[in-house]
Amino acid sequence: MSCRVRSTFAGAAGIILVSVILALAVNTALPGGVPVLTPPPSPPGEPMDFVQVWEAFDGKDATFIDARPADEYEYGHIPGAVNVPLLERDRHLPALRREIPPDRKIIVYCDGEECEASEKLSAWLKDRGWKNVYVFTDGYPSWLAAGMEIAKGESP
Amino acid sequence: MTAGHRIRQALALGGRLALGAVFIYASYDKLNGSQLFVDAVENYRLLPRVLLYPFAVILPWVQFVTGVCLLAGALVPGAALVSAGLYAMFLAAMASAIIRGLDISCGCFNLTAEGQRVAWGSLWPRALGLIASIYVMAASNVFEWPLSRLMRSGKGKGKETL
Repeated sequence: MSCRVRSTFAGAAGIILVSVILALAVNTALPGGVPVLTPPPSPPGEPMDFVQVWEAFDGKDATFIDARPADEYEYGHIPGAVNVPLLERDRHLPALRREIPPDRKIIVYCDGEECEASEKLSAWLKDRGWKNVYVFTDGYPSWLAAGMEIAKGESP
Repeated sequence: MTAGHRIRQALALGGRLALGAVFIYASYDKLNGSQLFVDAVENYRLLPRVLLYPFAVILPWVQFVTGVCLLAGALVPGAALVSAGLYAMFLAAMASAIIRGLDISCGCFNLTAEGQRVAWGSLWPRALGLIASIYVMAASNVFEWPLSRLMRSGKGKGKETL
C-alpha cells in the first residue's frame, strides 16, 4: 500500500475519530439532545378502566389514539381520537410529534383485552418520549356497549 | 498546464466546495441530537435498536467535520474518502427502502413530516455526490486509477493537491 493511500485512510480515520469525540463532548455538555446510548425498551402504558377513561374524555385532558386499522376507525371511534394503526405507526410519527406535546396525557385503545395493538403502540409512544401514556384496556367495544357518543369518518 | 487540466482542476475544486457545503448544511440542525433524526434513521429499519441512537448522534458530526475539511482544504483525500463512503451508504439505504416498499421521509435535510420522501428520484443526487467524491479523491492522486492518470495528463503532472 502506497504512502499516499495509507495517509488517505489515516485521514479518514482521523476525521471519524474527531467526529465521535465531538459528538460525545457536545452531547454531554449540552442539555436537550437525545442520549448517545439507546434507552431500554419501555413497558406498555398503565391500564385505565372505563370510568377513568370517561373522566379523561369528559375533562378533555387527554388525547385519544385509536390503534385499530383505518377501516375500523372510520366505521366508528371515540370522538376526537386520532387513528394510528399499529402497522402504520412510523408514517404517523412526524404528525404526532407536531400535534402532541411530550407531557400530554395519551390514552390508546383498540378492540379490548384480546387486542394487543394498544399495548404495543403505547410502549412505542413511550419509547419515543411521551411520558403519560395509558391503555384503555376494555377498548372500543366497552365504549360502544356503554352507549357513549361515537364519531365516524377519517382521522383528522 | 493545459486548458483541459485547468478545467479538471476547477471541476475538482468546485466539487470539493459543493460537497463541503452540502455536508455542513445537512448536519446543521442535527448536531445536538435530534429525536426526529433518530426517527428518520429508525424508519429505514436497517439498524438494530441498540445502534440507533449512537448512529443518529455521531453521523451528523461525521458529516460536519467532513464538510469543514472539504471546505477548508484540510485532509482532502481522507475527507473525500469519508464522503464517498457516506454517499454509498445513503444510496444503499435509500435503494433498499424503495425496494422494500417503505414510504418514509428521507431524513436528509428537512426532518419534518413534509420532508423529502424516499423515491427513485432521491437516488440521483446521492449518486452525483458519490461521483463527485470519487472525482475529488482521484484529483488528489490517491489511487492509481485510470481517472487519476487522466487528471495527471496535463503538464502539471497532477502534483498539485486541491
